[in-house]
Amino acid sequence: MKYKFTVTGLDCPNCAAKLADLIAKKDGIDSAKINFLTEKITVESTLDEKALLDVLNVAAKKFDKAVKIEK
Amino acid sequence: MKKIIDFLCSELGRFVIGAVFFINALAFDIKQFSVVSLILYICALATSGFSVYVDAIKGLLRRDFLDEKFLMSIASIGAMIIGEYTEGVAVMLFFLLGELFEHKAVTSSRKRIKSLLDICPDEATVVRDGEETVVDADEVEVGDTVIIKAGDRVPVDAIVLSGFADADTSAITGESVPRAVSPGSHIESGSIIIGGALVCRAEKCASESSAVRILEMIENANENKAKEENFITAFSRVYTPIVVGLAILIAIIPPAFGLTEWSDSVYRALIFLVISCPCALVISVPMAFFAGIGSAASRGILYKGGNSFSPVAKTKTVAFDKTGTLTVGEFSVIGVLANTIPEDELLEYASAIEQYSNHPIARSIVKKRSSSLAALDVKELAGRGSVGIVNGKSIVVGNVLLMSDLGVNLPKEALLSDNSLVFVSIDKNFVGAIEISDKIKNEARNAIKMLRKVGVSRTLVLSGDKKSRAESIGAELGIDEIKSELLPEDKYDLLKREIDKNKGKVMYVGDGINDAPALALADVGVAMGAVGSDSAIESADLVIMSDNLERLPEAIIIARRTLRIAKQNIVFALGVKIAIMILSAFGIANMWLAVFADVGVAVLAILNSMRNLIGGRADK
Repeated sequence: MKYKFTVTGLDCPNCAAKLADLIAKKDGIDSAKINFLTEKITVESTLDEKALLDVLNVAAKKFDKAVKIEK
Repeated sequence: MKKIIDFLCSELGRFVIGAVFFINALAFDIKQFSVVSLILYICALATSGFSVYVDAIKGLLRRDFLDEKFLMSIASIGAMIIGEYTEGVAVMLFFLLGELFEHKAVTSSRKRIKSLLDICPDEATVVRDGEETVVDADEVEVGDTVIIKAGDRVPVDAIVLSGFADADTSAITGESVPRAVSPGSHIESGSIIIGGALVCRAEKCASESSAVRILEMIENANENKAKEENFITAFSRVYTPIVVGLAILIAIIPPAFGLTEWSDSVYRALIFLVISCPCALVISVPMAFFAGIGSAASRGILYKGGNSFSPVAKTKTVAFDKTGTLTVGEFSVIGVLANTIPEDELLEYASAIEQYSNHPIARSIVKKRSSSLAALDVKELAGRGSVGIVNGKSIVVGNVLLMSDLGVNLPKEALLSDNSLVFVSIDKNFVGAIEISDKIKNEARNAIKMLRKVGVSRTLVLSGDKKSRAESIGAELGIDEIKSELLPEDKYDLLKREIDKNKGKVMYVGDGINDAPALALADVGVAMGAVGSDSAIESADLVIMSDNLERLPEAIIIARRTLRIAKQNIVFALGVKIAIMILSAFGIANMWLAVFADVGVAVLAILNSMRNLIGGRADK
């Protein structure tokens, strides 16, 4: 399934790309792309929405605690 | 209290505390360097750089040795170690300040672009169980009765059941002239109703309505990257390793040959680390396209992606579909030819028969002259016309085919017209011909002129209509070449030939209803007036929400401006970085200048991109 969430609190497009790379490596996630300007993250995943959001936020917090990913 | 702590932890707070320590340190330092000033420097660095160091450690834990925060940490701590205390702290302070500016610039640009696109209403008033209730726009279901008051945004695509008003569709189509709506009209979500209240029936739910679909298209457009964006992304991936590599070389080689002092070359190497962050580069180009897409969208011009800008900017040849593109696609009666009975009587008979037909030509006759006569036994013969009985007389309204089938003789003078003709006979005797015209759009002539002004050197009409009609339209509009009486596959072949002649520069403009293959084939396919048509949106590169042809030259101007800004940003961002590298390699630049120039470039690139939002329409 393809999901799209809002991601806020990122510093710069470079960090956005790094976070996307990190997220893409997580279990259950096939691909992840972050658009820094529109503040959207597109994730392909086999997880359901709630589980996925948890995984994303844990990864994001570890990367930079200001980052938030929401529906 | 909590507010104060929040402030102290924020970027601005850290900057202020760091700056206070820094100034005190400088004050002590000026008199005489002492342990006190050293401690103050360290405090300044620790407070201002705290979060940078934390992120640097996080980066190291990920084994990301090229993390910008890590490199910045090395630069500042390295400067302290070689005794450049002022520089070490200044670099961190300026880094923070620059980031602050950059965030401000990004946030305000985002806001400005979003406000252009703030077209989705949050709430809707629906009638449920006989009562008016306000619900979230998302909760409106197809078939719901929706009440829209003056000043409200239309929550979902709907059809008007009762009420008269004007719909300001500027948010959707970019057109400033409101459209009158009455029972039976379709209204798109995102329009604003003025001067009246409407009762409507929801035809789509909010997420499938125009406003949301347009926003989705704009968002997706940001995913389809332009060549320039891909270049800069690819470049930024190698940029940091190269600059860090250069830093190491600068630190080691010159002193190894005894050309410079160790501390000097280490200092120069640290400057390289400071400008190794690719952020200014990475933000400069997408920002330009983001602003371009937003600015175009606010005028009802939807780019399907950043990758559409370049072909649009290069357009040299524009091929138009005729009906519905150059003409309004609505027929109107312009007169009567060779009539043997009074014009009014002729129209009244024709109208009595045609009122049972839904054909656009039949409707144009009914619109011209409504009839109070009763018609019996009316039969519509597809592709030919209609027959029926009025006042006991047998009436036939139709084209040449129908007349010859029924054995009606047509006088020669009844065939002399460039326009489409509908013949009328009473009891098998020809009584006159009705001339029907497909009106040319008001702005078409000016639009063609504007296209020439922006450098389009060749215009064509590809029409299925008869030769005389297509040619008269072409001549009236000043179009270079007219191809008429074409079947859909002929259009495709002709377009293909144009593309072979002029690869990469051919734009095709159609209404997207039956020309999807041509839209897809052209270097740039433009679908006009395509608020509702999925197939058109699918195959086009550029969608113009209104049917206003003047948006075409505007689209070209916006594309060129966007590309120009993107290129300026690349050259500027890279240029400044390279200049600083050269200066610092020869020991001329200092560290805080480097960091400020670096983030300064990012801010300027963002501001440069925002010019695209201010820039005017093509006609101003």
